[in-house]
Amino acid sequence: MKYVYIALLASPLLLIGSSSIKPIMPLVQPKTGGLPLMPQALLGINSSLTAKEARKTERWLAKQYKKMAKEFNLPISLDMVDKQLDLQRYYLQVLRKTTVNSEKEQAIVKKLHASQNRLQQFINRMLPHLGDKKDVAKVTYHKHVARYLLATSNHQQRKIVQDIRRDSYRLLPPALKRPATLLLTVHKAEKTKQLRNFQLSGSPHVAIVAYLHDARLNLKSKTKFSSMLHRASKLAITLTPREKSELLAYSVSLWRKQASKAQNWNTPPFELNVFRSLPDVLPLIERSALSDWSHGHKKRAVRMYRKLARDKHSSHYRKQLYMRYLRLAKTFYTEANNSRFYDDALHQLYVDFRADKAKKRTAPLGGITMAQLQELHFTFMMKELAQAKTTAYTKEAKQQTIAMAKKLALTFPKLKEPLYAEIALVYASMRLYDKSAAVYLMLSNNYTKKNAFYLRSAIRMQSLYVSYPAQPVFTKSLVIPAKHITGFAKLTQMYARLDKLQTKVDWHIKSHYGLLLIAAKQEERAVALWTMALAQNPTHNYAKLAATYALPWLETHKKWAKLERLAILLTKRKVALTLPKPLHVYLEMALMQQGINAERVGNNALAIVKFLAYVKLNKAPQKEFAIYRLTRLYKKEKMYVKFYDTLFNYVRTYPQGKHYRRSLLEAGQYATMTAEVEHAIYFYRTFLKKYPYSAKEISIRKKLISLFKARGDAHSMLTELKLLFKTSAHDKNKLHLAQEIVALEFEHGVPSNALATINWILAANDVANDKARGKAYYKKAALLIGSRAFSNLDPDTFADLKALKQEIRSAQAKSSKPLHYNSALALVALVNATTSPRTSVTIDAVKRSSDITSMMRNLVRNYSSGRDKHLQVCKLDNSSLCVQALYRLARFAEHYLAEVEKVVIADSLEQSITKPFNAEKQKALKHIRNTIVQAHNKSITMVKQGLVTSLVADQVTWMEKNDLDFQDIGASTYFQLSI
Amino acid sequence: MKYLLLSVFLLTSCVTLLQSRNASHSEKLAGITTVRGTWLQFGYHARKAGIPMSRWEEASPKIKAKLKNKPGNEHLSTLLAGALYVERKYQQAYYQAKLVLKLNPNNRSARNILGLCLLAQGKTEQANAELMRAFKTSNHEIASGLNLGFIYLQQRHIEAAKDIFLQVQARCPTCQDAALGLGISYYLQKDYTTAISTFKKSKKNANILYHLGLVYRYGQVDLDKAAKLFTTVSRSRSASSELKRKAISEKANIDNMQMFRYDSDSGGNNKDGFKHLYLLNAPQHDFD
Repeated sequence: MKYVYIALLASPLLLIGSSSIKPIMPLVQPKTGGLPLMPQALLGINSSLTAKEARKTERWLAKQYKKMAKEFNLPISLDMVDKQLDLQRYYLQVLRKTTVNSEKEQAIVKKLHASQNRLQQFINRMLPHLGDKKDVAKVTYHKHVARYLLATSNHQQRKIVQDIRRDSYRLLPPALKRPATLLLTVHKAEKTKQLRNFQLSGSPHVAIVAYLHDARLNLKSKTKFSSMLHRASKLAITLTPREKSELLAYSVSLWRKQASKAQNWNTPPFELNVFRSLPDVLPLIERSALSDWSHGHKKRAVRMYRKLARDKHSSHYRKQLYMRYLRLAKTFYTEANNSRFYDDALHQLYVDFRADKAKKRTAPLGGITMAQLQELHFTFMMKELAQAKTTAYTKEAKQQTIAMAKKLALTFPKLKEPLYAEIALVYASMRLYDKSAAVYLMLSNNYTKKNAFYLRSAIRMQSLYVSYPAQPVFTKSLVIPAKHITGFAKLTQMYARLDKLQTKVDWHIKSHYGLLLIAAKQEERAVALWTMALAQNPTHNYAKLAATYALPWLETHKKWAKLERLAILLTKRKVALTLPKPLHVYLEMALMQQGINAERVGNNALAIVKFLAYVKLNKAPQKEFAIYRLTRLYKKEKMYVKFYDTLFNYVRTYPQGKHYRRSLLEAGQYATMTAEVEHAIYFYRTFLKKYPYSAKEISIRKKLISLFKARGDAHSMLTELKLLFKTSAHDKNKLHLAQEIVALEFEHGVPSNALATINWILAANDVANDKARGKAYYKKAALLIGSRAFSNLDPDTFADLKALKQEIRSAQAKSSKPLHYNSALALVALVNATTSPRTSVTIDAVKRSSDITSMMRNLVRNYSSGRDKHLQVCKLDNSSLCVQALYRLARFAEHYLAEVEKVVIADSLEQSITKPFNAEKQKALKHIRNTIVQAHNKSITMVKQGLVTSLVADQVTWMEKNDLDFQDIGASTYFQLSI
Repeated sequence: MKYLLLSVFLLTSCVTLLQSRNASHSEKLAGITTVRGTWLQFGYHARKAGIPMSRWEEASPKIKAKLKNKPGNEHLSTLLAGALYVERKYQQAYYQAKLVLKLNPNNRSARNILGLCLLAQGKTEQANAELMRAFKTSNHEIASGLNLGFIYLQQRHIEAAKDIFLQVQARCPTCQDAALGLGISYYLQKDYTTAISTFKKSKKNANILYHLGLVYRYGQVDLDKAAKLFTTVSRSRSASSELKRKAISEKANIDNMQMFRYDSDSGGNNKDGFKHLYLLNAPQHDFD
C-alpha cells in the first residue's frame, strides 16, 4: 500500500500538473429535483414518544405485522395506524437531530422508509372498514403524506399533493389542515409564481421557501438571484442542521444551474458562514482551494486542504484529502525548491495525527498510518540527505537539511540511527569533522550493535579533524599541536573504547592507541597495552614495532617484571626483532634485577624464583653471582638441602669464582654439621689447595685432622698433622701436634719417621714439660729397639740404649717431676731384663764339676740378678711394661728352675756335704717356683683388671693359654708397647 | 679388655627393662636403651627430633637425612652419634659426640657416648672420666651411671662401683640394672646377706633371679634355693636362651653334686658361674 502512496507522491506533477485538478468531495445534491420541500417542518409532524416507548411500539408493531403476514384477513385497528404514525413521526424527529451523512441518519432513514411502507399497507387495508368520513380523511391524509415522503421526483410529489386536496383536505381536523394548506399553496405557487404573501406569515421556513422560489424564478438575473439566495441563507440561522443542509443543497443546485460554466468557486452567492457547521459546505471549500491553487495561491490552497482534512465532517474523505494535501505540498516544495515546506507539511500531519489520537478518533488521518507517514518522511529525508552530501547543496541548505533530519529523528527515535549516520556524512561533506565525529560517537554510544562501526567512523573523522595519520607511525615521535590537545585526547579515548570492543587483538588499533598514549606522555599505559597484546599476537608487523619500543622502555624505566614477561613471551614465540640489545639480554637483566630487588626488600621466596630462572638461562653472564645469591637466600630461608646442593654446584662450577673461598668454607661447615665427613674433607682439602697461605689454614687443618680421625684415615691425618706442625707457631699446641704425630707414626705410620719430631720435643725445653719429654724418651727408646726381638739387638743398639738411659737419667735428675721419666726407663729396663743372660748347665758339666755348690750358687746368683732386673721394670712402671716384665720373669725363672734342678749331687757323697747342698738347692728351687707362680698370676691379674691396653692383654692371655714364647710375639710387635 | 667387653655384653644382653609403674621413674627410664651391654639415653633427643626409638642399627641414614635440613641440630646430632656408636663406627661416633659437646657441653647423652667410644678405643681412664662427668651433669642421668658402674665392676673397683650403683638406685629406684649391679658389688665384697636382700628388694626378672641363684649357690651355699631359682629361670619366658642355658647348666651341676655328694662339706669349688663372668676367682697376689 505504501508503495502506492509513494508512487502517487512521486508523480505529483502528473496529477497536479494537469490542466485541472478534480475535487475529491462531490457537491451536495437536493433529494428531489424540484422545489426545496421541507416536509418535516412544513408538515408539522411531532411525536410524543420517548426512545423507550418507541422501541416498545416498534416491537408491538413488528408482532402485529407478523400476525398480519400469517393471517391476511386480520382487521387493522386505528390504533395500529396511530401507533405507526407516531413511530414515523418519532423517526423524523430523530432524523432532524442527526448530523448529515452519519450512519445513524442512514439507519433512521431506512427505518422511516420501512415504517412508511407499513403505514401504507395498514391504511390500504383499513380504509374499507372505516365508517366515519373524518376518520377516512384523516387516514387518507396520512397515507398521502407517507407517499409524499417516499416520492423521488417533483412530478410524483405534485400528484400526491393533488391527491391530498382531492381526498382529505376538506375533512381534516384543524391541526392537520394548516400544514396541508402550506403544502398545497407551495405547489400551487410553482404554477402561479405568487408566493410573496407567505413572507408575512412570520415563519422563517415559509420565507426561505419564498426566497428560494424567487431565486429559482430569476436564474438569469445574476444580481437578483444572488440577492435572493443571500436572503434565504441569512434566515437559515435558526434552522435545524438538516434543514440547513437541504437548503444549502438546493442553493448550490440553483447556483450551478445559474452558472453552469466557468464557475468562480471562490465567491458563492449565499452566506457560507451560515452553513459552516454543515458537512455539505466542505466540497465548496475544496473547490475554493483548488481555485486558489489554479490561481497561484498555492500555499493557501495547501493550508485549506489541511483544514478540510482536519474538519470533523470530512471523515469520509480525510484520507484522500490528506493525500492531496501532501501531494500539493510536495509539488509546491518541488516548484519552490525548498524542502522545508514539505517537511513542515509532514510534521503538521503528525500534529493532526496526535490530535486525532487525543480525540480518540477511530481512524486518525482518515486511515493513514504513522508507519506510512514515517516511511514517506524517511524516504524523503534520506533523499534530501543524499543530496546534501553532494556539492549541489549550499552550506545553508545542508544546515537546513541537517536540522530537518534532526527534527525527524526527534519525532521518530527509531529513525535516529540512519538519519544521524547520514548527518555525520553531511557534516563530513561540510568539513566539519569534529561534529561528524561527535555524531558518530553519539551513535556508537547509543547503538551497541554497530558501535564498533560507528566508533571507527568517529575515529576516522576525528583523525581528519586533528590531522592524525591513518597508519600508525612508529618511526618518529608524534607531536601534538596545542590547538588539538583536546582533539587528540578525544581520539585517544575513542581508540581506547574501540580497543575494548575488540575480541581479538587488532594491532592496527593497538598501535594507534599506544602511539597516542605515548604522545600524551602515558608511556607506561602504552607499554602495558602492547605487552598484553603481544601476549596474544606477537608476530604482526606492528607487534614487532611495538615490542621494539616496549623492551628498551621497560628497561630504561626499570619495570623488570614486565620486561621479564615480555622477553619470555617473545623468546618463546621466536619473534625476530631489531633491538638495540639481543632479546636474551633483556630477559637476563630483568631476572637479575628482580632477584636483587626482591632480596633487598626481604622477599626471599621471589628472589629465589628469579635467580633460579636466571641460572637456567643458557647465556646468562652473571650465573656465578646468581648461584651465590641463591645460596645466601636458601640459607636465609633455612632451605638447607637446596643451600648445600647449590653451594656444591657453585664450588664445582666456579673454582675461579669471586665467592669461591667463602663457599668452600661454608660448604665444609655444612658438611661437618650434617655429618657428611667425606664432603667436608673434600671442601677443606680443596680450600687448602686453593688458598695454601690463608689465615684460616691452621683452623682448617685442625678440622681436617678431626675429620680424618673420624674417618679413621690415619695416613691423611698424619700428613695434615705434619703440615700443621710445620706451619704452627712454636708453642704448646705445636708440642701437642708433635705428640700426635709421634703417636700416629707409631700406630699407623713409619715409626722411624717420628724421630725428628721426638727430637724436636726433647729439644723444645720451653714448651715441653716433663711428662711430654718422658713420653718422648719412651718413644725414642722404642725406636731404638725397633721391630726386632729383644734378643736380637745388636751391641750398637745396646750402647745407644745405654746412652739414652744416661740421657733420661740426667733429664730426670733435672726434672721437678721425675716420675714422668719412669716409663721410658722402664722400657730400657725391660730390654735390659729381657736380654739378661740365661746361664745353662749340662749334665756332663755337673758330673765333671768339682764344686757343685758353687755351680748351683752361681746359677742362683745369675737368676737373682735377672729377677731383679725384671722387677726393676715393675718398680718403674706398674702397667703394661710391668705385666710383660712379670711374664718374662716367669719364663726366666722357669729356665733357672730347670737348670737348678739339673744340678745334682751324688748320693754317694758324705751327708755333711749333700745335706746342706740339697737344703740350699731346695730353698733355691722353692724361691724360683714361688717367683714363677707369683709373676704369672700377677701378670694375668693385672691384665684382667684392665690395667693394661687391650693389645698387651690379648698378648698375655694368648701366651698363657698357648704357652708360647713371649719374646717371639711381644718383641716382633714393638709398637704395641707404644700405647 | 676382650673379656671385659664380652662380659659386659653377656651381662647386659640379658637385661630387659621392665616398665615402671611410677610415672616419674618411667620418664627417667623412657629414654634408656641398652645396646651390646651399654646404656644409651636418647629419649629426650629422640622426642625433640621426632624420631621413634627403634632399630638403631638402621637409624643413621634417616637421621642424616633429617640433619641435612637442620644442620647442627643438637638433638639430631646426638642421635646420630648414638646411631654411629650402635653401628660400631666408634671414631665417627666420637667425632659426632665431640661436635655436639661443642654445641652444648652439658649434653650428657653425647658425653655418655663419648665415654663409651673412648672405652671402645681402649682409653679406659678417659672413658671413665667422661662417663663420670656425664653422670655428674644431671641428677636425672642414669645411663652413664650404669655404664660406669659395670666398668668399675670389671676393673674390680668394687667400692666405686657400689657407690655409683647406689646413686643410680637413688635416682631411679625401679631400675633393675642398678639393683643387679649393686647386688653383684655386695657379693664381690662377700656381703652375701646384703646382696640377697638387694636382689630380693628389686623387681624380679630372669637375670636378677639367676644372679640370686648364683649367690645362693656359691655364697651361702644353699643349693636347694639355688636349684629352685635356676629352675625358675630356665622355665622363664622372658629369659634369653643364653641365660636359660647357663641356668640349666648350673642346675645340672647342683644335681650332680647332690647325687654323688661330691665335696658336700665345702659346697664345691666350682665357681665357674662367676668366674667366667666376673673373674671372681682371680687371686689377688701381691709381689711384695
